[in-house]
Amino acid sequence: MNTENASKPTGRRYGSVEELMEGNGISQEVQAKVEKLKSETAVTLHLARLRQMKGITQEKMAELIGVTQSAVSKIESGADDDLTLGIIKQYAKATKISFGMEIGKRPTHVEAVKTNVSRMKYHLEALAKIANQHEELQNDIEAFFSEALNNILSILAKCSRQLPLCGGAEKSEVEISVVKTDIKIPSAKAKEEPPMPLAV
Amino acid sequence: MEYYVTIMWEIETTHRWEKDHKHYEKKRPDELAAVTNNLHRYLKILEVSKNSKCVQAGYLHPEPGGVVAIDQKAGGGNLQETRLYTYADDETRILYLLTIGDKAAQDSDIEYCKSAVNELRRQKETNEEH
Repeated sequence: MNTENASKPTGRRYGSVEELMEGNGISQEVQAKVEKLKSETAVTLHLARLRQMKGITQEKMAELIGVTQSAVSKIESGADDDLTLGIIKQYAKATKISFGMEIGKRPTHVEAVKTNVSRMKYHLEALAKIANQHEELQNDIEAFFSEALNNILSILAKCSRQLPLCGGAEKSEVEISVVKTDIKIPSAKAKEEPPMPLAV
Repeated sequence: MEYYVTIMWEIETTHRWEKDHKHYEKKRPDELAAVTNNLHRYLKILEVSKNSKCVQAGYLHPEPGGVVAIDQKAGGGNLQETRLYTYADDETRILYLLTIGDKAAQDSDIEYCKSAVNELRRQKETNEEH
Protein backbone atom coordinates (compact mmCIF):
# COMPACT_ATOMS: atom_id res chain seq x y z
CA MET A 1 0.00 0.00 0.00
CA ASN A 2 1.62 3.34 -0.98
CA THR A 3 1.40 6.42 1.25
CA GLU A 4 -1.33 7.97 -0.85
CA ASN A 5 -3.64 4.99 -0.48
CA ALA A 6 -2.58 4.04 3.06
CA SER A 7 -3.12 7.52 4.43
CA LYS A 8 -6.55 7.85 2.85
CA PRO A 9 -9.26 8.26 5.48
CA THR A 10 -11.65 5.33 5.52
CA GLY A 11 -14.64 7.63 5.91
CA ARG A 12 -15.51 5.82 9.12
CA ARG A 13 -15.89 8.27 11.97
CA TYR A 14 -16.42 7.64 15.65
CA GLY A 15 -17.51 9.91 18.48
CA SER A 16 -15.59 8.07 21.17
CA VAL A 17 -13.01 5.32 21.69
CA GLU A 18 -15.83 2.97 22.68
CA GLU A 19 -17.43 3.46 19.27
CA LEU A 20 -14.01 3.14 17.62
CA MET A 21 -13.31 -0.20 19.33
CA GLU A 22 -16.77 -1.52 18.56
CA GLY A 23 -16.61 -0.35 14.95
CA ASN A 24 -13.17 -1.85 14.35
CA GLY A 25 -14.04 -5.21 15.85
CA ILE A 26 -11.53 -4.89 18.69
CA SER A 27 -11.85 -7.92 20.96
CA GLN A 28 -13.85 -7.87 24.17
CA GLU A 29 -10.62 -8.66 26.01
CA VAL A 30 -8.90 -5.46 24.83
CA GLN A 31 -12.10 -3.45 25.36
CA ALA A 32 -12.25 -4.69 28.97
CA LYS A 33 -8.60 -3.72 29.50
CA VAL A 34 -9.30 -0.21 28.16
CA GLU A 35 -12.33 0.13 30.47
CA LYS A 36 -10.18 -0.91 33.44
CA LEU A 37 -7.47 1.62 32.52
CA LYS A 38 -10.10 4.32 32.08
CA SER A 39 -11.38 3.71 35.60
CA GLU A 40 -7.80 3.80 36.92
CA THR A 41 -7.05 7.18 35.29
CA ALA A 42 -10.42 8.94 35.62
CA VAL A 43 -9.32 11.39 38.33
CA THR A 44 -6.01 12.37 36.72
CA LEU A 45 -7.92 12.98 33.49
CA HIS A 46 -10.37 15.14 35.41
CA LEU A 47 -7.52 17.23 36.82
CA ALA A 48 -5.95 17.66 33.37
CA ARG A 49 -9.32 18.75 31.93
CA LEU A 50 -9.82 21.26 34.73
CA ARG A 51 -6.44 22.83 34.02
CA GLN A 52 -7.09 22.88 30.28
CA MET A 53 -10.59 24.39 30.70
CA LYS A 54 -9.04 27.22 32.67
CA GLY A 55 -6.42 27.78 29.97
CA ILE A 56 -3.62 27.13 32.47
CA THR A 57 -0.39 25.66 31.06
CA GLN A 58 1.50 22.94 32.89
CA GLU A 59 4.22 25.48 33.65
CA LYS A 60 1.72 27.88 35.23
CA MET A 61 0.07 25.08 37.19
CA ALA A 62 3.49 24.05 38.48
CA GLU A 63 4.02 27.60 39.71
CA LEU A 64 0.56 27.73 41.31
CA ILE A 65 0.93 24.50 43.25
CA GLY A 66 4.64 24.80 43.96
CA VAL A 67 6.05 21.87 42.00
CA THR A 68 8.00 21.47 38.76
CA GLN A 69 6.39 21.27 35.30
CA SER A 70 7.56 17.68 34.95
CA ALA A 71 5.81 16.84 38.24
CA VAL A 72 2.55 18.27 36.84
CA SER A 73 3.05 16.25 33.67
CA LYS A 74 3.66 13.11 35.73
CA ILE A 75 0.56 13.71 37.89
CA GLU A 76 -1.72 14.18 34.88
CA SER A 77 -0.38 11.30 32.82
CA GLY A 78 -0.18 8.88 35.73
CA ALA A 79 -2.65 6.63 37.46
CA ASP A 80 -5.15 7.70 40.14
CA ASP A 81 -3.47 5.50 42.75
CA ASP A 82 -0.44 7.78 42.69
CA LEU A 83 -2.50 10.85 43.58
CA THR A 84 -2.90 12.28 47.05
CA LEU A 85 -5.83 14.27 48.42
CA GLY A 86 -3.39 17.15 48.83
CA ILE A 87 -2.72 17.29 45.08
CA ILE A 88 -6.44 17.23 44.31
CA LYS A 89 -7.05 20.06 46.78
CA GLN A 90 -4.22 22.10 45.25
CA TYR A 91 -5.65 21.65 41.74
CA ALA A 92 -9.10 22.70 42.97
CA LYS A 93 -7.64 25.78 44.63
CA ALA A 94 -5.49 26.71 41.60
CA THR A 95 -8.39 26.34 39.17
CA LYS A 96 -10.84 28.02 41.59
CA ILE A 97 -13.28 25.18 41.20
CA SER A 98 -15.07 23.48 44.04
CA PHE A 99 -15.18 19.73 43.98
CA GLY A 100 -17.16 17.06 45.71
CA MET A 101 -16.13 13.56 46.53
CA GLU A 102 -18.42 10.65 47.07
CA ILE A 103 -17.30 7.69 49.06
CA GLY A 104 -19.67 4.79 49.07
CA LYS A 105 -21.37 2.45 46.70
CA ARG A 106 -21.39 3.29 43.03
CA PRO A 107 -24.74 4.69 41.88
CA THR A 108 -27.08 2.33 40.10
CA HIS A 109 -27.78 3.01 36.42
CA VAL A 110 -31.15 4.53 37.36
CA GLU A 111 -29.56 6.78 39.99
CA ALA A 112 -26.84 7.83 37.54
CA VAL A 113 -29.42 8.73 34.86
CA LYS A 114 -31.43 10.76 37.40
CA THR A 115 -28.33 12.61 38.60
CA ASN A 116 -27.23 13.42 35.08
CA VAL A 117 -30.71 14.59 34.07
CA SER A 118 -30.71 16.90 37.06
CA ARG A 119 -27.28 18.31 36.12
CA MET A 120 -28.36 18.68 32.49
CA LYS A 121 -31.44 20.62 33.61
CA TYR A 122 -29.24 22.93 35.66
CA HIS A 123 -26.92 23.67 32.72
CA LEU A 124 -29.72 24.07 30.17
CA GLU A 125 -31.45 26.55 32.46
CA ALA A 126 -28.15 28.42 32.81
CA LEU A 127 -27.76 28.55 29.03
CA ALA A 128 -31.35 29.77 28.62
CA LYS A 129 -30.60 32.50 31.14
CA ILE A 130 -27.49 33.51 29.20
CA ALA A 131 -29.50 33.58 25.96
CA ASN A 132 -31.86 36.06 27.63
CA GLN A 133 -29.02 38.22 28.86
CA HIS A 134 -26.85 38.20 25.71
CA GLU A 135 -28.75 38.88 22.52
CA GLU A 136 -25.67 38.10 20.38
CA LEU A 137 -25.61 34.52 21.69
CA GLN A 138 -29.30 33.74 21.20
CA ASN A 139 -28.94 32.09 17.79
CA ASP A 140 -26.00 29.90 18.82
CA ILE A 141 -27.70 28.80 22.01
CA GLU A 142 -30.96 28.08 20.20
CA ALA A 143 -29.03 26.00 17.64
CA PHE A 144 -27.32 24.16 20.49
CA PHE A 145 -30.68 23.43 22.14
CA SER A 146 -31.98 22.10 18.87
CA GLU A 147 -28.97 19.79 18.40
CA ALA A 148 -29.14 18.69 22.02
CA LEU A 149 -32.85 17.91 21.74
CA ASN A 150 -32.21 15.88 18.60
CA ASN A 151 -29.44 13.94 20.26
CA ILE A 152 -31.40 13.26 23.46
CA LEU A 153 -34.34 11.95 21.45
CA SER A 154 -32.01 9.86 19.27
CA ILE A 155 -30.31 8.33 22.29
CA LEU A 156 -33.66 7.52 23.90
CA ALA A 157 -34.95 5.99 20.66
CA LYS A 158 -31.74 4.00 20.13
CA CYS A 159 -31.70 2.61 23.65
CA SER A 160 -35.45 1.92 23.67
CA ARG A 161 -35.03 -0.24 20.57
CA GLN A 162 -32.67 -2.45 22.53
CA LEU A 163 -35.43 -3.36 24.98
CA PRO A 164 -36.65 -7.00 24.78
CA LEU A 165 -40.03 -6.11 23.28
CA CYS A 166 -38.28 -4.15 20.52
CA GLY A 167 -35.87 -6.86 19.44
CA GLY A 168 -33.37 -6.93 22.31
CA ALA A 169 -29.72 -6.16 21.65
CA GLU A 170 -30.18 -5.58 17.91
CA LYS A 171 -28.32 -2.56 16.62
CA SER A 172 -30.49 0.47 16.03
CA GLU A 173 -30.30 2.38 12.78
CA VAL A 174 -30.65 5.71 14.57
CA GLU A 175 -27.71 8.00 13.95
CA ILE A 176 -26.65 10.37 16.68
CA SER A 177 -25.47 13.64 15.26
CA VAL A 178 -22.40 15.17 16.79
CA VAL A 179 -22.86 18.44 18.59
CA LYS A 180 -20.31 20.81 17.17
CA THR A 181 -21.93 24.11 17.96
CA ASP A 182 -19.29 26.45 19.28
CA ILE A 183 -20.63 29.01 21.71
CA LYS A 184 -18.28 31.57 23.17
CA ILE A 185 -19.90 32.53 26.42
CA PRO A 186 -18.60 35.43 28.49
CA SER A 187 -18.17 35.22 32.22
CA ALA A 188 -21.38 35.84 34.09
CA LYS A 189 -22.54 35.87 37.66
CA ALA A 190 -24.75 33.08 38.88
CA LYS A 191 -26.20 32.36 42.27
CA GLU A 192 -25.21 28.77 42.64
CA GLU A 193 -22.71 26.46 41.09
CA PRO A 194 -22.94 22.69 41.37
CA PRO A 195 -19.74 21.04 42.54
CA MET A 196 -17.61 19.32 39.91
CA PRO A 197 -17.95 15.66 40.79
CA LEU A 198 -14.88 13.49 40.81
CA ALA A 199 -15.33 10.02 39.43
CA VAL A 200 -13.86 8.15 42.36
CA MET B 1 -19.18 31.90 37.41
CA GLU B 2 -17.68 30.94 34.05
CA TYR B 3 -19.47 28.63 31.67
CA TYR B 4 -17.70 26.13 29.47
CA VAL B 5 -19.00 24.43 26.39
CA THR B 6 -17.52 21.08 25.49
CA ILE B 7 -17.02 20.66 21.76
CA MET B 8 -16.94 17.08 20.56
CA TRP B 9 -14.23 15.73 18.32
CA GLU B 10 -14.57 12.77 16.03
CA ILE B 11 -12.02 10.07 15.34
CA GLU B 12 -11.45 9.03 11.75
CA THR B 13 -9.41 5.98 10.84
CA THR B 14 -7.07 5.61 7.86
CA HIS B 15 -6.46 2.42 5.89
CA ARG B 16 -2.95 2.02 7.29
CA TRP B 17 -4.15 2.29 10.91
CA GLU B 18 -6.90 -0.26 10.33
CA LYS B 19 -4.29 -2.70 9.03
CA ASP B 20 -1.66 -2.01 11.71
CA HIS B 21 -3.92 -2.10 14.75
CA LYS B 22 -5.00 -5.64 13.89
CA HIS B 23 -1.38 -6.76 14.19
CA TYR B 24 -1.11 -5.02 17.55
CA GLU B 25 -4.29 -6.59 18.80
CA LYS B 26 -2.88 -10.05 18.16
CA LYS B 27 0.70 -9.47 19.29
CA ARG B 28 0.50 -6.67 21.85
CA PRO B 29 -3.05 -6.38 23.31
CA ASP B 30 -1.85 -4.70 26.53
CA GLU B 31 0.02 -2.03 24.61
CA LEU B 32 -2.98 -1.47 22.32
CA ALA B 33 -5.23 -1.07 25.40
CA ALA B 34 -2.79 1.39 26.99
CA VAL B 35 -2.50 3.66 23.94
CA THR B 36 -6.27 3.45 23.39
CA ASN B 37 -6.87 4.65 26.95
CA ASN B 38 -4.49 7.55 26.33
CA LEU B 39 -6.29 8.27 23.06
CA HIS B 40 -9.47 8.54 25.17
CA ARG B 41 -7.70 10.94 27.54
CA TYR B 42 -6.36 13.04 24.63
CA LEU B 43 -9.87 13.31 23.12
CA LYS B 44 -11.41 14.37 26.43
CA ILE B 45 -8.83 17.14 26.79
CA LEU B 46 -9.24 18.24 23.16
CA GLU B 47 -12.95 18.70 23.91
CA VAL B 48 -12.16 21.50 26.35
CA SER B 49 -9.24 23.03 24.43
CA LYS B 50 -9.26 26.04 22.16
CA ASN B 51 -6.98 24.23 19.75
CA SER B 52 -5.02 21.02 19.61
CA LYS B 53 -1.64 22.76 19.76
CA CYS B 54 -2.19 23.86 23.36
CA VAL B 55 -2.78 20.34 24.70
CA GLN B 56 0.06 19.20 26.95
CA ALA B 57 0.23 15.72 28.43
CA GLY B 58 3.06 13.43 29.46
CA TYR B 59 1.82 10.68 27.12
CA LEU B 60 1.74 13.02 24.08
CA HIS B 61 4.77 13.65 21.87
CA PRO B 62 4.59 16.39 19.26
CA GLU B 63 6.38 15.23 16.12
CA PRO B 64 7.26 17.18 12.97
CA GLY B 65 4.52 18.14 10.52
CA GLY B 66 1.72 18.42 13.09
CA VAL B 67 1.81 14.73 13.97
CA VAL B 68 1.16 13.85 17.62
CA ALA B 69 2.29 10.49 18.98
CA ILE B 70 0.43 8.95 21.91
CA ASP B 71 2.42 6.57 24.11
CA GLN B 72 1.50 3.75 26.50
CA LYS B 73 2.07 5.57 29.85
CA ALA B 74 -0.11 4.51 32.82
CA GLY B 75 -0.89 1.25 31.06
CA GLY B 76 0.91 -0.89 33.63
CA GLY B 77 4.46 -2.13 34.02
CA ASN B 78 6.68 -3.85 31.46
CA LEU B 79 4.89 -2.62 28.39
CA GLN B 80 6.83 -2.23 25.18
CA GLU B 81 7.31 1.40 24.10
CA THR B 82 4.44 2.01 21.69
CA ARG B 83 3.31 5.02 19.69
CA LEU B 84 -0.12 5.69 18.21
CA TYR B 85 0.36 8.42 15.60
CA THR B 86 -2.42 10.97 15.15
CA TYR B 87 -3.15 14.20 13.36
CA ALA B 88 -5.69 16.68 14.74
CA ASP B 89 -7.51 18.89 12.24
CA ASP B 90 -8.69 21.86 14.30
CA GLU B 91 -10.99 23.16 11.56
CA THR B 92 -13.07 20.03 11.19
CA ARG B 93 -12.40 18.73 14.71
CA ILE B 94 -11.39 15.36 13.35
CA LEU B 95 -8.58 13.36 14.91
CA TYR B 96 -7.05 11.07 12.29
CA LEU B 97 -5.45 7.82 13.40
CA LEU B 98 -2.44 7.35 11.11
CA THR B 99 -0.63 4.26 12.35
CA ILE B 100 0.67 2.47 15.42
CA GLY B 101 4.18 1.15 15.95
CA ASP B 102 6.97 0.36 18.40
CA LYS B 103 10.09 2.29 19.29
CA ALA B 104 12.22 0.43 16.75
CA ALA B 105 10.03 1.61 13.88
CA GLN B 106 9.72 5.16 15.25
CA ASP B 107 11.88 6.93 12.67
CA SER B 108 10.25 5.32 9.67
CA ASP B 109 6.77 5.70 11.21
CA ILE B 110 7.34 9.43 11.71
CA GLU B 111 8.55 9.80 8.12
CA TYR B 112 5.44 7.95 6.93
CA CYS B 113 3.16 10.10 9.13
CA LYS B 114 4.67 13.35 7.82
CA SER B 115 3.87 12.30 4.25
CA ALA B 116 0.46 11.02 5.33
CA VAL B 117 -0.43 14.39 6.88
CA ASN B 118 0.75 16.21 3.74
CA GLU B 119 -1.44 13.88 1.73
CA LEU B 120 -4.43 14.50 4.02
CA ARG B 121 -3.92 18.26 3.68
CA ARG B 122 -3.61 17.95 -0.10
CA GLN B 123 -6.79 15.89 -0.31
CA LYS B 124 -8.61 18.43 1.87
CA GLU B 125 -7.48 21.31 -0.36
CA THR B 126 -8.56 19.41 -3.47
CA ASN B 127 -11.97 18.73 -1.93
CA GLU B 128 -12.35 22.38 -0.99
CA GLU B 129 -11.49 23.47 -4.55
CA HIS B 130 -14.30 21.29 -5.87
